[in-house]
Amino acid sequence: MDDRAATVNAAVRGRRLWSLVVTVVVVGTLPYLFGHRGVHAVRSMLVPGAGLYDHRHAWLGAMFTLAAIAATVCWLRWGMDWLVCAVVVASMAAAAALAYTNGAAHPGGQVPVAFAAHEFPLVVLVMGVVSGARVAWSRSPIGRWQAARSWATGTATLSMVDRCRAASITALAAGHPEPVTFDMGALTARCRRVGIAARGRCTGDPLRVDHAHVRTTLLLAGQLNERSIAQFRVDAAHALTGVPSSEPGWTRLLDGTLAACALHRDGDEVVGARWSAAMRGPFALRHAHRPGQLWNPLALRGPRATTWEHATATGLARAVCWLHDDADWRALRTRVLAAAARGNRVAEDERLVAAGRIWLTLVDDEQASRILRRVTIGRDGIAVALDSLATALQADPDLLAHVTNPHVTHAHAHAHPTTGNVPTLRSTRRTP
Amino acid sequence: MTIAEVRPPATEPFLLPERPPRLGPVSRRLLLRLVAILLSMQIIGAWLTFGVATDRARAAGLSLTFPAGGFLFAGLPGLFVVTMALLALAVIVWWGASAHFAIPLVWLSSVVVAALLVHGPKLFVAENTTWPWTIAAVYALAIGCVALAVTRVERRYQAKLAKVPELNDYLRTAVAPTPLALQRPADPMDVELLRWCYAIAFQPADGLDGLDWGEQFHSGTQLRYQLNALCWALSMYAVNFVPNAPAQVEAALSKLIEKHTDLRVWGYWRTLNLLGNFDPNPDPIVRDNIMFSAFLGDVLNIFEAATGSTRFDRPGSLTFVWKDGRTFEYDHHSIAAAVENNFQRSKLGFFPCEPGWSFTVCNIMGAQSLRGHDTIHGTSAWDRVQPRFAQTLDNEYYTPDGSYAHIRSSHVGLSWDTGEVPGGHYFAQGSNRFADILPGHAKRAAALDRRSAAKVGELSKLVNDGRLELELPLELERHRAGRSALGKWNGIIGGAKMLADEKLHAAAIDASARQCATGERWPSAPLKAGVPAMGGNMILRWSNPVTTAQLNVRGYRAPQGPVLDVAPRDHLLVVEARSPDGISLELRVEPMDAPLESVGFAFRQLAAGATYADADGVAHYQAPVLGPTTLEVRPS
Repeated sequence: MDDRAATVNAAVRGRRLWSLVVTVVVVGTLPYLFGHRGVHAVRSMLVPGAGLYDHRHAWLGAMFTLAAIAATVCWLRWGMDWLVCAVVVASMAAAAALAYTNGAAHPGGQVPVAFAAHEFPLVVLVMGVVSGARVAWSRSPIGRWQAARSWATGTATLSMVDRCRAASITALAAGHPEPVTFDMGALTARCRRVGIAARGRCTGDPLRVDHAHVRTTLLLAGQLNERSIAQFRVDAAHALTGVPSSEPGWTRLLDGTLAACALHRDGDEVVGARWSAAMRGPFALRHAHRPGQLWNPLALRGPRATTWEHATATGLARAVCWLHDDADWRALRTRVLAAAARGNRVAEDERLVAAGRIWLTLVDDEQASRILRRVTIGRDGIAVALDSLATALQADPDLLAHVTNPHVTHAHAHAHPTTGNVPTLRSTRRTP
Repeated sequence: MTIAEVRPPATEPFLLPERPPRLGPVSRRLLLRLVAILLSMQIIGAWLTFGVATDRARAAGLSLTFPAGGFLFAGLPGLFVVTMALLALAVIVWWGASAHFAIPLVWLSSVVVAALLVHGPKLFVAENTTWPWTIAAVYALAIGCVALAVTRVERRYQAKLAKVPELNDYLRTAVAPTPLALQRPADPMDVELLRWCYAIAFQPADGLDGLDWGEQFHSGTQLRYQLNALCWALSMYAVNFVPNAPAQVEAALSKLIEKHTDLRVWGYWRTLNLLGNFDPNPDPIVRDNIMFSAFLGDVLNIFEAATGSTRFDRPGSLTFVWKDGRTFEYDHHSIAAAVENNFQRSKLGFFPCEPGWSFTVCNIMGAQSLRGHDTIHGTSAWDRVQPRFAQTLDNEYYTPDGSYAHIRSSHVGLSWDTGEVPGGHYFAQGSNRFADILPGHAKRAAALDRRSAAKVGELSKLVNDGRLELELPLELERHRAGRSALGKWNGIIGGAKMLADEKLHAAAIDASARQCATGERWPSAPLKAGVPAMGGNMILRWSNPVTTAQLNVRGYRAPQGPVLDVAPRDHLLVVEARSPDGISLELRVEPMDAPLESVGFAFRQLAAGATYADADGVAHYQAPVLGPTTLEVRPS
C-alpha cells in the first residue's frame, strides 16, 4: 500500500477510534453519573427508545424507535445526520427523565448494565434488516415480476440522481461535453431541499458544496463556470476520500468514481491518486463487496454497494488505472453472468450486464464476453449509458485517461493534509 | 444382467411375434417391486384391521388397504373426499412435475391422520363413533380398483394380440412404394415461412418474439421444441433449397441454436430435477432431461450435416448459465457423450425425460443424436448403445400389434395414455421414424403406418388440376390456446408422402396454405397456427428430396458448382440456390423488406478461368433486386 492510501487509512482509523472512544466513555460514564437514570439513557443510546420499553411508557419507547428508523432513512438518503442525533438524544433524555428514581423499585428488578458498544447504533442494524428484506423481496419471483412490470423504458422514470449518473456516464463515453437535457430547475431545487434539510443551507448557491453527482454531470456537460469548477476542486481536495460528498456527509462509491473521472478529465492531476487511495482504504474490497457509501464524519462504511454500482465504479477506476488488479472482476464475475442469464427484465440486471461489458474491455474473458453479448441493452437509461461507455472503451481503451484541460493549476489541491506530490496516474491501464 | 428371452434384438424384425409377453424383464421387475410393496401394505393393513383390531389400528389399517379408507371407518367421510381430491392432485403432479413422492405422501398421511382422528371431533356424529360396516366397503373398493386396472390392461393386450395374424398377413404381402423424391420449387408460402424463420433467428440474441409462450413442462408451448422444429426445418431448407448459398441459412441456424442456451428455454429443468430426483443441480444436460439434451444433439447433427459448420464443435460453444451465475459448458461432442452416459447407466435401457418418466419418442431422438454424431465425427457411440436400445424397445415398450408404448415409469414399470398421442402408442416416432437408427423397424413401422393412412389416399380423388378444394375443420392445438386446421393438414401431407402420392402431396401443401395463410409477417405468424404446427408444416414442406433421416445417415456433402458466397444478409432473402450441373447456378432472391436498387453478389467455386470467373473461380456482380428475382450464373 502506498503512502497516500496509508494516510487515508490512518485518517479513517483515527475517526473511527474517536467515535469508539466517545461511545465507550458515554456508555461507561452515564450510569455512574446518573445512576439508574443513566442506565436507561445508555439503553436508549444503543437502541433509541429501549430505555423506556420496560416502563409505563413503553409506547413512547416504540415511538422513539420508529422515529429513529425514520431518521436513519433520512440520514442515509439525504444526509440528515443531525436528525438521528436529535432522536437519540431525545430518547436518552426521555428515558432518563421517566426512569424510576430507584433501580431497586424497578418492576423487573435490577437491570444489568451492558458495557458494550458498537460503531453503529442498533438502528443501523434495523436499517440493515429493512434493506436486506427489500433486497430479498426484490429478488423473489414476485418481486422480480413486479419490478419487471413497473419498469418503464428510458430515462424518463429514473430518479433525479440516476438521471445525473446516466448523463455523466454518457458524457464520459462521448469524450466531450454533452449538454444535459433534463430539467435543471428541478435538479437545483432538489439540491436546495437536501441542503436545507441536512445542513440548513437556505441561501446561496445550492451547489457550492456536496452534491457530487450533480456537479459531476454539470462539469462533464460543460455547464459549470470557472468559479464553480474551482470550488468543486477545493471541495474535493478537502474531502477525506478526495472527492466531494453526494449528500452532506455521504461519499458514494459510484458518484465518487464519476466525480473523480470528471475532475481527472478536467485536468485535476491528483484526484485520481486520492480516489485510488480511498478505493484501497475505506472503500476497499472486503469479502467480495465494496461499501456503497461512506459517512465521512466518523468514516463509517455504509451498506454494500449494489452489484451494478460496484461493477461500474470499479470498471471505471480500472479503466483509468486507479485500480491495479482484476480482483473486483473476479468477485463480480459470477454475479454478472447471473444477471446475464436472468436477462434484461429488471433494471438492476441490465445495468449489471452493461457494467460487466465495461469490465470486459479490460480483462480477457472470452466466455463471459460471449454470455454478456446475448443480452440486449436498451430499456434502462443508465444501462444504455453504460453500454455506450463500454463500446467507446472498446474503441479507445484510454478514453477515460484522456485529459481535456491539462493546463489547470492545482493550488487548492495541496491544501489538504492527505495530498502530496504523487505522480499522475495516466495511460497505465492494465498494469500488473 | 440377464434378459429373459422375448425376441432377439433383430435388425429386421419384419413380422410381428405371435405370443409376445405382456411385460419386458425390467418392467416386470419394477412392477413386481411395486406389487410387493402394495402387498406388504395390504398385509400390514389386514393385521391392523383384524389382528390388532382397536379403533385406531383399524383406521390406520383401512387407510393402508385403500387410501383414506380409515376416514370412512372413523366416520369422517368429508376427509375421505378431501383425500381423494388430494390423491387426484398427487397423480397430476406425479405426472406433470415428476413428484413421485406425492401419491405415497398422501396415502401414508391418510394412514397417520386417520389413526389420530378416529376419536376426534366429528360433524353430526359423536366423537367415538366408528362405522365398522365400512371395512367391507373399503376392501370392496380396493379389490374393485385392482380388478378394474388388471381387466383393462388385459383386455387391451388381448385385443392387440387378436390382430397379430391379420397384421402378419398384411406385412407378408405389403409392398413399400417408391419413396417420393420431389424437388419442389419454393412457392410464395415457402418464401413467407422462410422470411419468418429468419426474422425469429436474426432478432436480438435474447429475443424469443414470435414463439408461443407458456409453461415449459408438458404443454405444447415448450420453447425447446419450437426451436428444435425451426432448426430442423431450416436445416432441410439449407439442404434442399439453398445448398449453393449456405451462408445466410447457416447464420440463422446458429442464432436459433444459441437460443437454446437462453434460461427461459431450459430453466424448467431445475424444478423437475429437484422434485423428481431431489437433485438441485440445474445442469440441463448431465442427467436425464433427454427431451432437451437428445433433441439438441439431434439438432446439432442435422445443422452440421446440412451446412458443414463446425462452430458448435468448439468446447464451450454452448454455455448454459444458471440464474446464480453457475455455468455449464457444452458442445456437440460433450452433449453426445452425456446422452450416451445416460443410456449406459439406465437400468431400463431408456432414460428419462422428466425424472422417472422414460418416453419412447425422446429415446428415439437420443438414438438419432448418437447416430448422427457418429456419422459426422466417425465415432461409434450408437454401435455401443444400439443392442441394448433395441432390446428395450422390443422387450419393454413393445405391444402385440407392433406399436410401442409412449411412456413408461422407470420407477414402477407402468405405462399409461398421457393423451399426447392417440391411444398412447405408435408404430414409429422421432423425426426420423427409425429410418436411420433401426432400418428394419422402420420398414415394418412404415408398412403398418401405411395401412392406417390408407384412408388419406382417398383424398387423392378430390384433387383436380393440382388443386384440392377442401377446408378442414379447426381443432384445438396441443397448447389449447387456439384452434387451427394446420395440424390436420400436416397429417394429410405426411400421409401423402408416406403413400408416395405426389399429386395429393402437392395439392395438400397448396390447400393448407390457402386455408391457413394469414398474410402477416413476424412477429405475427404467416400461418394461422401455433409454432409447433408451423414447424411441422415447414419440415414436411422442405424435407424433399433429402429427409432428416437421410441427412443423419449421409452427413455433410459440400455443394458442387458455384456458391453464392456474399450477399447482404439483412436485406436479401436467398430463396433458392442450386447448381444442376456443377457449372451454373440457378439463383432466386427477394428483398427481405424494401426493394434493393443495387445488390453486390460474390460467388466462389465457379469454373476457374471460364468466361464468368477469374482464375480463382471467383466473381462479383451487381444487380438490382426490386422484387422476386431469378438469376442464372453460367459461362457465356
